[in-house]
Amino acid sequence: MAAISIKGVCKQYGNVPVLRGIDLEIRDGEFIVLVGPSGCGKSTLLRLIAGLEEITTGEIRVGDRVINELAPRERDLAMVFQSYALYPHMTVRENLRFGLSLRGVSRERMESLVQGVSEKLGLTELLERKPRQLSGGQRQRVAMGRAIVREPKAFLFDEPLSNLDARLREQMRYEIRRLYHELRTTSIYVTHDQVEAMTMADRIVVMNDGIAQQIGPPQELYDNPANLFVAGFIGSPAMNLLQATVREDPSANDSVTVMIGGENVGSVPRPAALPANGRVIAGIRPERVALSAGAGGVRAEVDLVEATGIGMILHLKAGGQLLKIYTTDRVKFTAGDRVGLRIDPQDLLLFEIDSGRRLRPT
Amino acid sequence: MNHRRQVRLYWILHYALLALFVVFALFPLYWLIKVSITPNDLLYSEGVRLWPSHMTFAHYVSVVRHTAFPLFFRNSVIVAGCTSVTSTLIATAAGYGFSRFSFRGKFLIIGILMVTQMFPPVMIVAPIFRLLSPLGLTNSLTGLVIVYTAFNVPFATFLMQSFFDAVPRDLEEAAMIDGATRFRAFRSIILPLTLPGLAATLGFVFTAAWSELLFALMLNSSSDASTFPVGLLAFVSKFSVDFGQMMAAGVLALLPVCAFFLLIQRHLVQGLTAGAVKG
Repeated sequence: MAAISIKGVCKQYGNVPVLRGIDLEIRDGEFIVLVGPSGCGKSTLLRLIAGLEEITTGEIRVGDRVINELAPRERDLAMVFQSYALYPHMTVRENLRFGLSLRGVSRERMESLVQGVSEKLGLTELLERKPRQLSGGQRQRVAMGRAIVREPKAFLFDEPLSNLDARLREQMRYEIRRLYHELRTTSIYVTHDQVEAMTMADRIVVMNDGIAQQIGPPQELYDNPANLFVAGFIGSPAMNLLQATVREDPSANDSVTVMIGGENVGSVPRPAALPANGRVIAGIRPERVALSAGAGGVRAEVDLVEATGIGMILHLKAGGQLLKIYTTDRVKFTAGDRVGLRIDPQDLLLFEIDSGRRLRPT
Repeated sequence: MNHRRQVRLYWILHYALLALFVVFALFPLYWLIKVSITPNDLLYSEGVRLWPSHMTFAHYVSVVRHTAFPLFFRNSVIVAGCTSVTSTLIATAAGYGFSRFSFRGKFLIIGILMVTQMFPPVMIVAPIFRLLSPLGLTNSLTGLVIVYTAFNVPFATFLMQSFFDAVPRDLEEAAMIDGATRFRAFRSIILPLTLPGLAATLGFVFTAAWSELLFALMLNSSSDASTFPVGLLAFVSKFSVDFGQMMAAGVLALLPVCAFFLLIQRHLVQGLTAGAVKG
């Protein structure tokens, strides 16, 4: 096990920058998830750590050793690929042994390690099979086994669950997390699925356009997104981001009033910096918007109702803007119904329109 | 007509067309064998018959005992064997390079390789003769191996590249992270998976070198360094053609190619990479 330190890492392909200066300190034994949309640079960062791509500028350390110039085999890391990358002409046993034999592990030790890992992952019955004779979930387990058996300093996961169906993905998510709790090996996990990120990570790195937008524990990112991108990316259904105006609150110096669609939603603490025209984006989580029983609050029209089983997502139109609310109540609405909404001003997050930066209270 | 009958008719037509193609493709081979075992006196006297009224192996005996065919045969085995091994080795290395690495001038080199395939060989026989002659490589099997290798490497390279392209990069990357050098990853992971491609390339080059006539005829005038296609011409004299012996020699010349393909056919089976990646 080892800590991993990433300092000012940039990667360019020709003139195209893919990573624009990533700084990240991963603690020994920490489970970090890199999440972001396709093309954000998360897989590139993982490949730089693995040594499969060359760093343009910056420095990566594993423990106290700079690994920039080391070949992948010298870094003592293990990687689980999205495609599993099992050696198709070898049996499961040979797949597990391959890395050990390259490292000169004795035959007896090799057998005992393979035995231990296959018991841990339920592969004992499959040891003599070839990868083509395995199901998707079994192949995934073998890929995990191949990584674990070498007892590397860190695990790198490159979207390992994206080829599995929803049920198997949930099961494997649990198994990876369970294994991590058992082994406590430093892990870097790349995914574009924010549910995977939220459920597995000790800390999440949200990436977009080659930049780490925010780094923090899942709940911190959910409750306190640093900018519009993180606010919109983390959470499902996504946060409502509405055009709003803030005005001075005549009753209190340190507050401003938020208007959405011409309706006064309430007062919030005055942000440190406010745009001159008072126009901002107001963010609110779908589950924090309540349906009001009375005539008050923001008026909206039901556009679409989605039942998820555990709850319902209502798509609404309010003052020319679309927003979603999530409720676990068994409400009976159909398209065209008119409803009133109640928004607690404390749940509102304000963002600057141009930069997308969060406007935090002083 | 109901659907079942339509399907049956489709399959009947399907197999009828396939059978027609097979007959068309194999008939010359059949005729080669038929003529090789027909006694000389029956060749013209029996008219067109599918099988002679009696058979003889005299042509085979005569070819082996009284002509230089065994020497031509040996020369052809050496030339085709050396050419196929050298070309495949070079093509494997080059194909892997083109498939896996980006480097300056890559597309220029690929372009030049393509251009070499555009010229008919007859255009450059004379310059090649002029080049090889002072080097003492005319009338020599080595000269032929060099020329054949040069002519076969471009196509063989493209062939090998396409086989390497079909093997996911993840596999060798996984091997390199597992502790292998690039060469070890190539040897232990990529090469076993491209055996069908390797076999196909070997087979293609071997057949091409085995049956090549133009350069063999133009570069080698001495019968010591002649290959069997040149030797076959010896059966054509000014006033007659000894069809029986020529066909017997042809059948004998087929044997190494058949043996070679029997040897490599196990590796020509596709689908070895199934299950390597998602699926």
